[in-house]
Amino acid sequence: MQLAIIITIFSFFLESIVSNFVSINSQLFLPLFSIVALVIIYPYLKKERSSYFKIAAVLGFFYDVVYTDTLIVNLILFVFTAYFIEKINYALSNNYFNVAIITGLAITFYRVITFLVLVIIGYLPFSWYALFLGITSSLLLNMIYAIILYTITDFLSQKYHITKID
Amino acid sequence: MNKGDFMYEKKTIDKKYIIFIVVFVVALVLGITNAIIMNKEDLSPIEKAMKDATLTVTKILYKPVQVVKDKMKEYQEKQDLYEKYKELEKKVKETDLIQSEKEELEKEVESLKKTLELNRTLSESSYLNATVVNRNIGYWYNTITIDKGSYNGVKKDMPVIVSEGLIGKITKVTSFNSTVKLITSDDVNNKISVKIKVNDKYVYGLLSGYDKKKQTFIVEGISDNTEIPKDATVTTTGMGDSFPSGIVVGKVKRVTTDNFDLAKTVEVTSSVDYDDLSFVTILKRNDQ
Repeated sequence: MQLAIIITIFSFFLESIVSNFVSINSQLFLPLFSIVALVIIYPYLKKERSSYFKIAAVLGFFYDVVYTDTLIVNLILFVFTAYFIEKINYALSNNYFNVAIITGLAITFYRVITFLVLVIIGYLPFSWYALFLGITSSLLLNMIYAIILYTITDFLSQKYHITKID
Repeated sequence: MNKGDFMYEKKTIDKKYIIFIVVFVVALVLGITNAIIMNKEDLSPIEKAMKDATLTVTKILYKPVQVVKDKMKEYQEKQDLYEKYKELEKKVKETDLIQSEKEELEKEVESLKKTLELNRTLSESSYLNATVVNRNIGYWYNTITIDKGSYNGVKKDMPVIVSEGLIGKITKVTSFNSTVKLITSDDVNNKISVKIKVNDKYVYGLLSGYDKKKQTFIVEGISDNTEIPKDATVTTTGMGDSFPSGIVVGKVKRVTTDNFDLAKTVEVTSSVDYDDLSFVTILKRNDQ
């Protein structure tokens, strides 16, 4: 549980810092480390399902307040994404390759539902290109981050005998 | 009724119940999102406090990284120091001439304002520099966060510029930070009145969007039949509440007309480098 919270807080702040090094119009390297954190912490909270969803909700809430000024929108979307991550984890076990795949799917899911919600309420015009760019621009950097974070947390969990269900 | 029938009936009821919940949740999410995103109200005091506290931690964590980043930039800039020195020397020589021209123009503007009863021009604004704390994290919202807030006199709807031109306006303000909505936003409500300088006259239009593929702004609603040349300067008109007149938006790249030659669409390129938005300037109205 402690490791999961540390990963989440670390990723949340890192996302903000890294955004300063990436072009706003970047088509490859947009950080979405908060979602990656949800992917990485899941194996550590598999037995504490409610804690996992609580962390997702709190993370979404802070994301709303600090980054997007959209109180509780991301709270709901992060919980949905956490549920989606849980479902994929039933089908895929955790290893380097699968962590990258799960991260890619989770980011795609998050971007698609956010885009659809914003289109339906009339905030954004619908465009396949915008949606495609929204997804592809966030995949590469976050997959790399997911693999690095997985390596570090895997090492720490083995060293300090932290329970992890892959 | 045997046991099998009973189980079948129970399963059907569960399905209906789930569909109802799903529909209800989706409607609720859409309703809440609509209410929150379209809400133009200020943040609540609790939101402001939480945002300021968390961004203060971010700024502290970012400080050492920023030092390294600045050092690297400084090193890169030192590489072409001689060329920059020569360029600046040339500019200094031109300064005296520009100063006298500026004084003359100020007098002219003052008299024209009295004649036309204009109440909002760029000369009435003072400048406040700010550092970017984070960039476009929500992706779809196209915003950046800067380190100046109501404590520094920042107010909602103030324009934000860089030396190359307009970049956006303040949308949310906390005590020590503010959110800037960029003009590259896809937001359908984000429209700005602009004018294009053609010889001695202006052609008016509406900056209605940003084409991510071509990386150009789209100016529509031009009824004037005047030929618009390439590289003509596009500036704000000062109409509306947000932007004073005369802020540079960009230069004309291409003009297209519809099949009946009635409506013109102008593609405008901005000289703002969105890849390197680290420092920005807020235009504060002197009466605010």
